[in-house]
Amino acid sequence: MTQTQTETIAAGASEVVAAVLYGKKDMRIETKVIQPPASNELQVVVSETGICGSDLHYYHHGRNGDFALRHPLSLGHESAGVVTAVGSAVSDFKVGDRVALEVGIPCSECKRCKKGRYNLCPAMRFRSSCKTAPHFDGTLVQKVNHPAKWCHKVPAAVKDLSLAALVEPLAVSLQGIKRSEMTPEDEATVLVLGAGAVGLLTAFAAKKRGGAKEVVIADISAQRVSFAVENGFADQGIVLSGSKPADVDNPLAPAITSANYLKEKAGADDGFDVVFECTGVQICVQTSVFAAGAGAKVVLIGMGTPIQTFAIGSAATREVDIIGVFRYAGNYPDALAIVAEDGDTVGKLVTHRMKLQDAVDAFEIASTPVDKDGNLVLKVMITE
Amino acid sequence: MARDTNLSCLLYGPGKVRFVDRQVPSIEDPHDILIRISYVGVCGSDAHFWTHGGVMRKVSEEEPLVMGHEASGIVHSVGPAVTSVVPGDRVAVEPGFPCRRCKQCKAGRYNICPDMKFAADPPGNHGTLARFFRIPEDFAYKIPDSLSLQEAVLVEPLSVAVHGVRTAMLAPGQSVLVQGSGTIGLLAATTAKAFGARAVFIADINNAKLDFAKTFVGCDTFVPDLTSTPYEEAARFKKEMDLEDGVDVILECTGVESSVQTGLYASAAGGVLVQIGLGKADLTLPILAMCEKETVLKTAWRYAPGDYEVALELLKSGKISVKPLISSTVSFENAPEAWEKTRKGEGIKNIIEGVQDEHDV
Repeated sequence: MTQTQTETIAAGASEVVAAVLYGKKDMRIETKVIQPPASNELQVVVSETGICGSDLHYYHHGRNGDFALRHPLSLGHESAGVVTAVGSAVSDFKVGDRVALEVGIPCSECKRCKKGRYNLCPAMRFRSSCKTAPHFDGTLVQKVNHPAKWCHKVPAAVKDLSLAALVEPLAVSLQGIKRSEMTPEDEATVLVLGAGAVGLLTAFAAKKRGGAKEVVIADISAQRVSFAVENGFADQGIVLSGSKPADVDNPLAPAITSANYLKEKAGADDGFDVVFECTGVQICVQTSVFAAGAGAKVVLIGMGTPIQTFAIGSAATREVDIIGVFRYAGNYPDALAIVAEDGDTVGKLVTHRMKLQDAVDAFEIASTPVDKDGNLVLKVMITE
Repeated sequence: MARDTNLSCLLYGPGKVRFVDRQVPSIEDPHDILIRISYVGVCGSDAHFWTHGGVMRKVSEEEPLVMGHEASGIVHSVGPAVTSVVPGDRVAVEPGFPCRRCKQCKAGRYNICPDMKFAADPPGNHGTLARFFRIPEDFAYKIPDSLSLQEAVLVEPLSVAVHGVRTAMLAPGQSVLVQGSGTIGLLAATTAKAFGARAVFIADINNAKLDFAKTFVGCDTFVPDLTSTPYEEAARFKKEMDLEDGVDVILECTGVESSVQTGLYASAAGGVLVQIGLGKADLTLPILAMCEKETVLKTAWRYAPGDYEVALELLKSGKISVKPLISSTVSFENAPEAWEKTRKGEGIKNIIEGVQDEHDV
């Protein structure tokens, strides 16, 4: 045992600051005690945590769809930090290592885990989620103990730990690319619906890894669409109008109109080869099917209303596959490689940085599309 | 750390109080919830405990008890099967937990369950004067935004009043005499008005209390002369209030023998007296006069199914406001001060703040 390991294990419990959600719109900064890491764990000082839509949902509503807060809980799951203590059975990490945290811990033994689809493990425990109870605290805490198996070393070329924190949503995008089965040989024309953090990263990944010939991104926010094109996330941007009158006789008419508009502006008369749906909004899901060409794929990354209406006939009779995506499995190493190479582009997503003490303010800012100065809000990072 | 402590106020005997950090209750039944207590009201029974160590059963050094049963709070955590509340919800607490299996419970009369576990009832039923209090989810009632957590403390006594009025089966247009102008009497009188009584009268030996009733309830008042007899006082009451036949409903909220007798004499033929207030264990009643008039004597004990809901609806609709009844608030560590005030008859409802958070960050 090295000197450093002996010292850190003997250090004992310590007090840490945490942001804890007690109910909707009731998040408090308080201290709690953290024990030394277990033999298979690392203790990590959390340097950067990005705020996700699910965090915002828990904050504003005390629930995320069917999952309701059952007891006080720390949110946050898009994190990276620095190892400050190493469990006795861990040999491949040392104090000072920079790590990205993969916060979903599967059982590793069931059929799905063994097949590599651990994101679907029935016994999955995901930090900051209220899906299972008792809940597993998120990363909006100064330090966390996390299994070393689910910590990923950050390559030296990654300039900033906020990039390592972006690896979490980037891993979601990469899962979408993987599930689409698109390859550079396809020279695909890709449509991404939604230019939020996940839409932007998916558009980027569609080119970087999917080898798309052309990536078109669409959103109702002109500001976001411009951002996407100006900063190298997509080749073309199209602004869609926000609300459309519902037609009782033909409820899908607005989606058909949008799809035709997108195809025309993008010069994709035959439809898009892959559509990445990154909003979860029903009309966008409907539009995805109409915008997809025959034999194409619609990849559902965005999570919205759980029960929706869409043109199943249009999809089935044209062999348009609808593919679901849930979090990520095995995508962290590739995501880290991408931020090591293209950190300058990806890093542009971080529009706001605030300290853990100001977590409530950070959540309020993250809840708006533009801040009070009119600047775009994309990814708000909470730093230590 | 602050999160893991459960500072509680326990009584060990008459005049003997101690503040102890007990274990935070854990959620065992999937339908249980943990509430962070915001305020606790003081009842006449609390004052009795403070001076006598208990009413029917007493506390002791060996079996001390956490006090308090009129409480409001904020839901802290919920068991896996809970669907009616989520953490952060503001709630009023119904503090008595029946067995749910016996004949009375199954008949819907859970307030008289022989195995009732009522907060601050010795031995062993710890009350609400603690940081955290655990209850089954169906004994927490979400309060409207318009009701403060301090006011929510009064939902419990209001439910007692509602139970009394519903036991009387008060119909619109009937006349009501409320005896006693304390918290329960005031709430019974104002509930009777909300239930459509054509006339409400309130009686008390204390003029100051009656003055308050005049504005709070908006009713006629009567001061019984204790040197006279119940029969004569009932006759005088009927004459002064121009009630030839007497009153249809009497809500007896004092438990005092002479008051009960007066109420029975004041009842109209076929009238109902509901005994809500508690006093001596045995009383003498004018049974012959009751038989002649077929007077109905009913008793009311705490609150039964639906009473809390009716109380909350009365508050939500604005038909009743309990804010004027709150006379004082003391901090948690000064709970005995609130008990003393109530014992001395100072104020109407004195309330105690829940344990405050330590601001360590």
